[in-house]
This record gives sequence, C-alpha cells and structure tokens, in this order.
Amino acid sequence: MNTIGAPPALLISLSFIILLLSVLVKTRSYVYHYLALISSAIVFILTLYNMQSVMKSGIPIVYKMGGWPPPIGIVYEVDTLSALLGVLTSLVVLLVVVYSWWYIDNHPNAPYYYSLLLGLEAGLIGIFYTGDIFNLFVMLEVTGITSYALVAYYRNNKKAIEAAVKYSLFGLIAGLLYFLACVLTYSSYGALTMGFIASLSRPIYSFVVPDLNYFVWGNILGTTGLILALCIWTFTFISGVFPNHYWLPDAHPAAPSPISAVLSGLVVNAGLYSLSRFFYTIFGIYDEYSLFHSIGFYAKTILLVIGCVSMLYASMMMMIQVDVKRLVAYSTIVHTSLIFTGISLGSYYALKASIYHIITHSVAKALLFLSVGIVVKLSATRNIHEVLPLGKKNPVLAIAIILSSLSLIGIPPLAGFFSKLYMYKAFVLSNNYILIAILLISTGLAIVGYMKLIYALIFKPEPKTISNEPANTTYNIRALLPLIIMMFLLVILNPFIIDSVLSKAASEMLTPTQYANSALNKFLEYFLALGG
Amino acid sequence: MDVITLAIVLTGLTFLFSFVSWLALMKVIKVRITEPYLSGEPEKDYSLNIHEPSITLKRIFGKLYDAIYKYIQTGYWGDWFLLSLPFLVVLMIIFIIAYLKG
Repeated sequence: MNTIGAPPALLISLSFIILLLSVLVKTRSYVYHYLALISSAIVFILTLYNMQSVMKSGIPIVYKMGGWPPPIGIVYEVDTLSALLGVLTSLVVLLVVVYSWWYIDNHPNAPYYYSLLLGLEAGLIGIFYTGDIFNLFVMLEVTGITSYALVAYYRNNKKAIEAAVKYSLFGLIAGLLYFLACVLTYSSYGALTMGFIASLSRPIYSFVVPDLNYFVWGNILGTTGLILALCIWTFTFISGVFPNHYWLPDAHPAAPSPISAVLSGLVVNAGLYSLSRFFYTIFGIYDEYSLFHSIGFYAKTILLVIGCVSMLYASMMMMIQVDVKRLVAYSTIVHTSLIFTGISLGSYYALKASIYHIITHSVAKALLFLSVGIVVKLSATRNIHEVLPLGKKNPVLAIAIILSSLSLIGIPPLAGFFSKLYMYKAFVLSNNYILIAILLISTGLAIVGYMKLIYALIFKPEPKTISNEPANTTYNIRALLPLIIMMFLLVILNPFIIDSVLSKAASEMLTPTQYANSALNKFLEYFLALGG
Repeated sequence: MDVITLAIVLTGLTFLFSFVSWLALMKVIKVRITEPYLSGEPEKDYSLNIHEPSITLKRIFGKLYDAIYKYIQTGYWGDWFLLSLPFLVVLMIIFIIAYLKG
C-alpha cells in the first residue's frame, strides 16, 4: 500500500476541520487538543510505515498525484533521507502537541494554534517528500505562512508582531527568488520533476534515453549557475545562515515556546534538506558524471565561507545575549551553519555527518526550547537575570536542560557528541584542518552561552524578591513527558543504532541513480502503456 | 536563453530594488516612534573586557564590538536588507565567473 501522499493530505484536512469546528460549534478546548494529538499520532505511524517501506524496497518510492506521471504531473518521491526526516518531523511535532496541551491549555486561540501547527507539519513533510521543485515551492510557502502566523500568535505583543512582519516580508522575497529559480529551471529543462532533471543533468542518461535531450533548451550551464545562486540565497534564509539569519533571533523567541522548538528544531531543516537536494540529487555538482561538476568548486567555496563566518558570528552572539530564548535561537544558527559546512564538502562522510547532525540537533534543540519554555512561562520573563532557577526544584527539568546543552556542545555519550565526531572525521578526511579549528573556536565560544543558560535556569541563587510575579500555573506530566522521551532519544541515537540508515541516506544522495531511475520509470511506464 | 543578458538584467533589478527599498526604509526611520527591537539587551551598562597588550588591537576590537552590539544584533531589518541583497549579487557574479571559466 502506497501511503506516501497520506500525511500532508491528512494534516491539511485536520487543520481545516479544527478551524471549521471552532467557527461552527462552541466546544471545549480539550477537543482541539485531542484532535491534534490523534492526527499527529496517526501521521507519526504513517511516516514510520513509509520509512519501513522505503527501507524494505531499497529504492525510492514514487507517488503520482492524481495518477499523472512525471514530468506532466506532480510526484512525491521518498528516499531514505526524505523518509528519515519525515519520521523526525512527525515525532517532534507529536511531542510538541503533547507539551502544548499544558502550554496552551485553555487559551482562546487554541484552535488557531493547532490548525497552524498541523499546517506547518503538513508543509514540512511535503517539503521532505516532494519530488517536484514547484511543489517544493508550494510546500515552502505553506510552511512559511503558517510559521509567520505562529510567530505572531501573541498578537498583543508588539515585538512578536514586529518579528513576524520582518520574517514574512523577507520570507516573501525568498519565496519570490525561489520561484524565479523554478521558472529558470522549467525554461531550460522543460521539467520540474527532481528525478527527471537529475537525469538531464547527467550526460550518461542520454545514452540510455536519447529522447531526453529534447527537453533541454539553451545554455543550461549558465542558467544552472543562476539557479544555484538563487537557491543558496533562499535556503540560507530558510535555515537562518549568515547573512540571511537576521529574522531568526527575533522570530524564534517571539513565538510560543513549543513553536520555537518546531521552528528551531525542524523548520530550519527544510532549508538544509532543500539545499542538499539541489546540490546533490538534482544538479549533482559534486558528481563527476554531472554536467555541472565544474561549478562544484565555486559552490563549495561559497558554502564553506558563509558556513564558517556564520558559525563564528552566531557563537559570538550567543555569549552576549541576556534573553534566554534569543540565546538558544543563536545556538540554532551555530548548528545550521555547521551543517552547511558539512554539506559543502561534497564527500560521503561529510554528508553522512551532516544528516546525523540534522537529527541530533533537531532533538536537542527541541528539548532545550521546551525546557526553557517551562522556565520562561513560570517566570513570566525571558531575561536571563530575572528567570527563576526552576531546575533546582524539578530534577527532570534540570536534567533536560543539562542534557540538551551538553548534546549541543558535543559531550559524550550523547547523540550530539557522535554527530560532531562524524563531522570532525569528515573534516580530517577532506584535509580541511582549518575547519576543525573554526569548529573548536565556535564550540568554545558557544559553551560560554550554554553555561550562562544552565547557571541561570538551575544553579543561580533564588531571588528574594521577584520583580515579575510568576504566572499561576504548574507543570505536569504533559509538560515533562515529551522532555523524558527526547532525553531518551538523545541517549539512544548513537551510531550503533543509526549508522546503517545514515550510510544508506548519504550514498543515495551522492549517487542518485535510483532516485532518477524511479522517476524515469514512471514516465516510461506511462508512455509505453499509451503505445501498447 | 542569453544568460549574460539575464544576469545583467537581474543584477540591475536587484540594485534598483535595493535602492528603492533603502529609500523606503530610510523614510521609516524618520517616522518610527516605537523603540528599536533590542530583545532585552541593555543599551549602555555593558563594557567589553579586553585584555589585549596593544591599544590598537583594543580599539579595533572595541569598534568591532560596537558595530556588532549596537548595529548588527539589534535586528534592524534595513541594515540587514542592505547586506543580504548584495549577497545575492555576489553569488550571481561568482556563478557567472564559474560559467565563463567552466
């Protein structure tokens, strides 16, 4: 049974059902909590099933929208990386929904919150699953629009509104530039299907299917250069990498804490994934059989430079922050920049390390934001000097804050240590010793920020007088259960468990023969059926 | 498709767009009545503690810190906009060079 198309469709439907329900019937808020919980749980099961199907079949699974074959129709094409990120997204969102039950509780805008959160999940899974660059644009917009609205959730807070306006305006420019990249691609390749363009980019396919050359028009080398330039700009924006990061330290803290966890843990992955897809699968600039192999050096240099500058800049910024959520948001930039440098190297180990770091960062960052969210909500302030050291009173919360910070720093035996170890190994194997120095300096600077955070939330002496009256709320198992599960994940996501999946995902990205073949086969099947 | 022409047109449009936006944003500065978004960072009560042997280095770091603290990390979008659009132009120029050399 092909259930590839089910998660986004189900989520979008539920998203609208919740909205309709809130308008038509006056129900209690727990109805929305249950609906969101059930739908995100079903989607988690579906993504797990899709992952299992991909691993079992050994080749990417193609789902044709409305039965139309590529390149005429839109396809979803799921390989190991897509399936893995789909599972990661649905799991983190499921835990965030459980946490939101405590965090949002009886807030009057709860239906809008859940509707937008499910829409955001649909957009993210759509981004990871799609095999069509225009559908990727649509899904990026779905993700973007829901994110802008969620950042502005506290609509009486002028900082939240300013952050959302900034995010949305620049998101609009990024969307337009990516749309231009789609236009250029279609005008040169005559197709928008990723697998199809991947085969057009590799001359070896013209021996197998000579008719493919009819699709290509004009000078595709020059046009592809422009497409890649537009893609780099757009995806640095989405993943919050310098110099297009400026919206992130405002937008991520301004949102409710569970949404900050989703934005910092998952939404930035959309940019990293899309960049890898364009650079590796579609145009194959690191592939010696690709037409665009000559561009590889330039692309690698650009990504390396912006990745390194961004890493150093963000870790420096972490040190001087006095807003706890803003500090964590800068930590996101440090890690996305590190993944950028990994992606830029173009080697098997670097790609494997990057994928691994995407996973460990997502879990650790979501855990840190959810933990910080508890403290921020109960302290009713984000100022590092004023937040209450609630970690003292609750060992689970304290352990969650410490474990997530240590994982992000890269301390053994946590998952973050292994992913950073993979990254160091990739840097050594590619003889980029300067990158090791930069990563060490960046980690050293970032440690100062994490230590500030740990001290403020756990070890700081309790204030005798509290300037801001704490909110009259308590945290219960709904708030702590997601933290416990994420802590468990940080311990078990070690190479012994995940290495084989990472190896498969990295090798599929580096040699996307099966990805291209799966799309081409659907195309050929359709035309052979027409002829027969 | 003539890529060079397209690149020149795109570059020109980008410059034009950034110039117009800059003008528009400059106007916003004049009429803005809300405080700049500083997210809780103190504006004055922070001093950089640099123990450098050279005063010149201290000055350089001081100015760098001032630039980062006062202008960059405030998140004022006009400044970032003026940086990120030329970044796009630089990217395009690099890929045009790659095309011409490749």
